[in-house]
Amino acid sequence: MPTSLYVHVPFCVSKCPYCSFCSIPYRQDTANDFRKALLKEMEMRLGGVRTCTLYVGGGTPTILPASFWKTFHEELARLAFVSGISESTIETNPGTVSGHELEELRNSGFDRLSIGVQSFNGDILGTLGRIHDAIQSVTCFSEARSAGFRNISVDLIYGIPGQTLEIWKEDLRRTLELGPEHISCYELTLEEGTPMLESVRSGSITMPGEDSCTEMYFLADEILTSAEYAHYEVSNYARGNRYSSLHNCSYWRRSPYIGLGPSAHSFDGIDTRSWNLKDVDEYNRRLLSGRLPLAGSEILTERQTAIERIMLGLRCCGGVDLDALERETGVTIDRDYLRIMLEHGRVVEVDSRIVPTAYGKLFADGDSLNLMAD
Amino acid sequence: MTLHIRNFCIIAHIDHGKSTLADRLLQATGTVSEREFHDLMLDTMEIEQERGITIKSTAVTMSYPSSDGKVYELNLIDTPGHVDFSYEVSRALASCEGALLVIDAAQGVEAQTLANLYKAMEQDLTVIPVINKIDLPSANVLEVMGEIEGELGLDADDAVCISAKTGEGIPELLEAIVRKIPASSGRDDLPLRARVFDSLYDPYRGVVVYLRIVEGRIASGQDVLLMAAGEVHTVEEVGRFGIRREPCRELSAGEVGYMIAGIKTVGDVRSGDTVTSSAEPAERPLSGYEEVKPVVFSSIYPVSSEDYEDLAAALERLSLNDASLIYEKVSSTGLGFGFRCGFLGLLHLEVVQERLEREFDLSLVLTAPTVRYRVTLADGSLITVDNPVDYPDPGSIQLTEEPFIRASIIMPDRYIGPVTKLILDRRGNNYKNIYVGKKRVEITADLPLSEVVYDFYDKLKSVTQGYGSFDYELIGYRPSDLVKVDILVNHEKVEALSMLVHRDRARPWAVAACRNLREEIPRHQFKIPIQGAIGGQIISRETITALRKDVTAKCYGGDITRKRKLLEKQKAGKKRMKMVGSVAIPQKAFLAVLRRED
Repeated sequence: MPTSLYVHVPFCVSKCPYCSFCSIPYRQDTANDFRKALLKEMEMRLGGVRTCTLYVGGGTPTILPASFWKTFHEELARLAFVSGISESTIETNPGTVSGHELEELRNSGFDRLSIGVQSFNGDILGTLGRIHDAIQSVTCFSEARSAGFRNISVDLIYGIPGQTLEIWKEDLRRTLELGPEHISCYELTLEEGTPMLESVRSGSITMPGEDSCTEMYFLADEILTSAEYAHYEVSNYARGNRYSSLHNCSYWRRSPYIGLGPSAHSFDGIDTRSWNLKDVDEYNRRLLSGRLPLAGSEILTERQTAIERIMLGLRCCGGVDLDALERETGVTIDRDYLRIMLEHGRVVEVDSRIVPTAYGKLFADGDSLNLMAD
Repeated sequence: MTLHIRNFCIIAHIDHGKSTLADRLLQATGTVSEREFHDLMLDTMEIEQERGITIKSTAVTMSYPSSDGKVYELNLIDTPGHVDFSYEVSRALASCEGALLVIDAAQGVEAQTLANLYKAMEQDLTVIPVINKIDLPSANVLEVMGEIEGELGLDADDAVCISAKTGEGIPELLEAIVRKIPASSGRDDLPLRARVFDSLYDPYRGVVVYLRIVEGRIASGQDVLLMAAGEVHTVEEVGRFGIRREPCRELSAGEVGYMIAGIKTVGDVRSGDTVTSSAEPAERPLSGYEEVKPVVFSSIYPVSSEDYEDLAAALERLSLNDASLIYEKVSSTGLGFGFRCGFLGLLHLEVVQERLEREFDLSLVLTAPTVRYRVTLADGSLITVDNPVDYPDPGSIQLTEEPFIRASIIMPDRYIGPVTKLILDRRGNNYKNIYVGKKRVEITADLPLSEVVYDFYDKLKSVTQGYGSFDYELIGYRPSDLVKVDILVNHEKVEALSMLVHRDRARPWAVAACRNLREEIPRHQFKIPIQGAIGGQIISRETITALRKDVTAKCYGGDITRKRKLLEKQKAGKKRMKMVGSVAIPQKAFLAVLRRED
């Protein structure tokens, strides 16, 4: 079965206060080791693998020179079967990459660019601790187009302290002006250990309430679907069906994927998940001494498989086939609860599948728990 | 052989240092070696140590060589300290000749000091005032001495000043115990009479009965009769209390010790019963025996019905050592199978609940505690109802009656106002107040027991800032206008939340219950109406609004594991709640219905 491939680049120019992903400020020596380590991990894990999508994320992958990504693609082509790759994404942040570098990245093999715009409002970008401004976002986008990227995704964040519904509306409007193929709208979720959560706890900033966040969610749904974007996952919109993120859909459909780089997760498409070490130095050390950087793995029980299928299905417009799920995993679905969901318009029945509405996607977590009868 | 025995207890206001003093005496007499010593030796049960309260009586024998050259046997009997267990306290006190009344040198005489003193005086104990914590900078020994004379009416010259913490004054105290507390004596040539003051279940030996030998002797091999229970047992072992049990050949009049006699459960040996010889029985039992009856009832259900068998086993285990705990099977629509249990009071209920959850790892739902009502039906027959579920159709009822208590509250007179208000709010009548000291007042009043069982004591402590003491006795049944209030959650009646309430109280009770439930039940994905109803009539209503959303925005790339684990954790949390229809009700909500703003 073809496999998706994820590469995690754990460097940024500086760490944003809300970010809980595996990312450290860029350092030349660590980055040099990382490049070697990554190529080593590819050699150890990708031999003969048939890849169908590639996604390079982070961090800020474009912090590494475009020439490295050229080497990366060559190496990938040498080790794995790449002719089936139908989507090849790299993430970038405005202000970290020049038009020339974008051309190089395009030429090296990437055909999709995901830009971390987050907002067009200067104050909001300040709150988020972003190092770019709105002009750099627009420049980055147009340079990407000039460089030949025909599939561009813009990442936005809502539910930010100080962000009003008006500001959010303006962010959406300016995004639509750019005309990207794909838009991600993530609600800001603060994780333990992030400086921004500390600021909220100390009272120096205030998160918008649940009601405003819900309003922002529906505003995005309304504005973007009116502009012919399909709301195909809780936080993701695609212009027409062909621009859904194939790579992300492979996670959500529980297709196999291999994750390279620190903290990256892998799934065999059946029942085994595994993940790499988070610590960048340790990741480098392991690989440079010829050992795999595996941190842990788990074999899913049927029940865990069922939870995943429901939870992921209720986030995506593909929904979930509950009858098949019961048959294949042996769990029982609480039909009374399903009836409540249908009555409340949270899901609709499409053929044999239960498909969430825009409203229903807001309840994917709780509903997936409640759907599992004990 | 002349025995030099002193039997005594320690009584004190909470936190005045009773347990610390007990520990110090054990150390000073070498009863416990330094190595064995851990603080609060006597409070062995985990819950006792945490709450700083003693639930069961314990006893320990110390050997003390006095300056007069004789070696004395000092028996320290540690008593429970809560009104729920006042009968047990009185039995334990009856086994002593003396009491150490501990007073904090910085706090002085407090309400409970007085109440405890009265208890000791009722049993004719010789009281030695002990001024503790004299090492504190804020200690004011002279003032406390004045209070001992003025407020307690005791001779301040008898007071012993100590610091249980540093050990200062402990030798003087031991001498005072020997000199002032009357020697425990009794004629050992009379037929055996021994008072049971507590008993403990030992998994290897059966019940260990705690005795005060009043007259005669008891030895192993002898057949004894429990006079109230009417049962004969053969004594397997008698002994004294060290830190462990120390078997001996016999115990004789004046001594405190234990017997093991093949008794299976503590329910077979009631505190206050008299042990006599079955061959040569005493004519009369000792006075003061009462059968203790539970006064508060609640149903206990496992959150998960799979745990029913475990709950049954756990209750059986607990009742081996807790004669006051009674239980029987019940089933409820919505909550499934469980047990209807009777308790001595609310603290007793809480202790049982905590032990079930902690020691047996059970997740439980307890229904609102109720008292036992008496109902005369239209046909003249009399039934008792201690479960709202069993309340008969109002049309078939001629008369309902509820149990009343006579409360005695002692406190500084500055709290008369709030305490009076509290009593009146709780339907108190026959109210009286009398000064029992310069600034101390005793209020007596008759109150429905149902108004007292839940949080009366807590409320009293709060309005008197801890200075109010509370004691009560049951005085019988009185007519009362009762109604059954039902609670509907999402239009479904939840039996476990139903409550029998005085008609005048029904509406405020229902309003408060709905409001409390709204706070305790988490928001769901749909809105949940909560209603209070009498019969079919809705008398209060609250609504729990629906969640606006319940999803995390980002699925963390390929890290599905993390996301799934969060959900699994939530699912486990939900398992600890009780599902009523599609509403998950947390355990604490079942007791929250009783909380009220007075």
